[in-house]
Amino acid sequence: MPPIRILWIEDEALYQLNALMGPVLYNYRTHHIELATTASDAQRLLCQGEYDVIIVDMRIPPGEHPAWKNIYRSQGNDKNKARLGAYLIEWMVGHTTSDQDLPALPHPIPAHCIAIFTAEESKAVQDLLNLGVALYQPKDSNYPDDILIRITERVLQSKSVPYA
Amino acid sequence: MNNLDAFIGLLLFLAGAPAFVLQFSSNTARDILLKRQPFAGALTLYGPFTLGVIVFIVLNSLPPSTISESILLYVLIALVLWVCFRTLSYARPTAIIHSELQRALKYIKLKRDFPQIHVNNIVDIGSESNNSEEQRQTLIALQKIAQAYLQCPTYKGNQFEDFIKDLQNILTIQDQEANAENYQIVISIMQSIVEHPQTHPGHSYADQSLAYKTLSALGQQALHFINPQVPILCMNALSTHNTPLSTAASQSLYEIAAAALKQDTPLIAMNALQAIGSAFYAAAPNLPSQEITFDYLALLAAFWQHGSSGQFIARRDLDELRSYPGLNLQQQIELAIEHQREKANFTISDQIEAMWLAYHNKNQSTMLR
Repeated sequence: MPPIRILWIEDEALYQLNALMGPVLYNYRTHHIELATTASDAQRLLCQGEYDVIIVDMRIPPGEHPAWKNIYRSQGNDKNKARLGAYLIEWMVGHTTSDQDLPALPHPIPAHCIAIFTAEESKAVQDLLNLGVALYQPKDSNYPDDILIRITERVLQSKSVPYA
Repeated sequence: MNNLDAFIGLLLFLAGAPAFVLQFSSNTARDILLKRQPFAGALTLYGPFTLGVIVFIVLNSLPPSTISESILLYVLIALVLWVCFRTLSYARPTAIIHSELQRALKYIKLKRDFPQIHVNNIVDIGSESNNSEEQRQTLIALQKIAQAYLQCPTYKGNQFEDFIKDLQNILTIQDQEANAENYQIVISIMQSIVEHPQTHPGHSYADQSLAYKTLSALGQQALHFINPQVPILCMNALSTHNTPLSTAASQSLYEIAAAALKQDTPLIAMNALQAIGSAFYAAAPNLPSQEITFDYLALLAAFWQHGSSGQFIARRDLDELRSYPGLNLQQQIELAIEHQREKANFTISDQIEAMWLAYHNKNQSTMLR
């Protein structure tokens, strides 16, 4: 059976949160993880490959692509305010609210493949959950080290259960 | 002329500005402005003064009038402003980098050739500088040049050898954690090279091959950084989506991972294991390429050397390999050992042999029980 393909969009993935990679890499025959640390990286990977589960942080930097840079700039050059993760999810599911010229995805991504893993409060991401995003996991001090695998399993389970 | 003193004062300022620039600029900047591009340099430094003198002589030769004096005044003020904002900026290395970048991009557009002279100038300024920001500007300029030249139809795949070595040299000047951003720029350049489509008949793979080796070297160099960011970014660039994992990329991934295990940073090695292992199984139900099989076994052998946890992972993967359809594991192990011996990688061949002996013996003793 091919491994579950996970894309983790998280700028801290290689800094404070790098330990979270360990459990997924350990199970690399069942879970294959790829990282995007900026919105531009995520866009490039999403245009090139297909993923079963996409885990998105809200506060990510724009990277090199001019469209993401423009959105970032228009929101005050602050990743906490810009919330590029939200724009990215909207772009993935085809409900983009940005007037920037973002490239089209080769395959639309169903919202139920997407999970939000962020330090933001749930009410701040409610509009994204209303789009059909599978789940919201807060980055608090209580999540286990294998959180990425758990999120993945919950997203895959939710695929068979419509989002309420 | 009523305001002769003022005019002469302004002309003297225009004459003195180049001396000011040359006084504060680095040896390389002086060299670029005066020797390597004497015409462009002279125009930048002495152009405003020369133009000011010509206008002064022409207007002074005309019958005195308030109009000609006003014209002279406005022209001289404009030249002074130009010198203040433009010429004097050449005392800063970043201004020269920017100017050389513009010339290089123009050169690529017009001549469709690699702008070696401008690249040399930028590299020299970056190499001379101890300032992290100037080095970053240098690398960003070189990144833009590389991206522009990779788009050029005359690119044949073998013109970046010196360029890649220059990039590595600039990085080694400040080999420290704060420099991770500079590493990222170079990794991004290498990724552009390895992902470049080989569209021309007879296209060379020399640059691509060197870029793979450079990614391996950068990944290993950055292993002592506190965060694993740079080595993992190197690995991501090596296991790019555009193509199946090449044998060169697999080799580089192995090298970074083996070095990471030696330095007791197994998370990085696990990343390589995911990339090589996935490439191996991606070939199923066919057999993967021999080189990838050899690198996979070599990596498992490196894990085997890394204590009982490493041995657990290696054993887990070897158990799974035994059930791979059509794969004779013992034969592959023997071929891998032979392959590493032929390449004079005696340590690796010994590690594979040691892993196999221990694994095989344990399996046999388990069966006998």
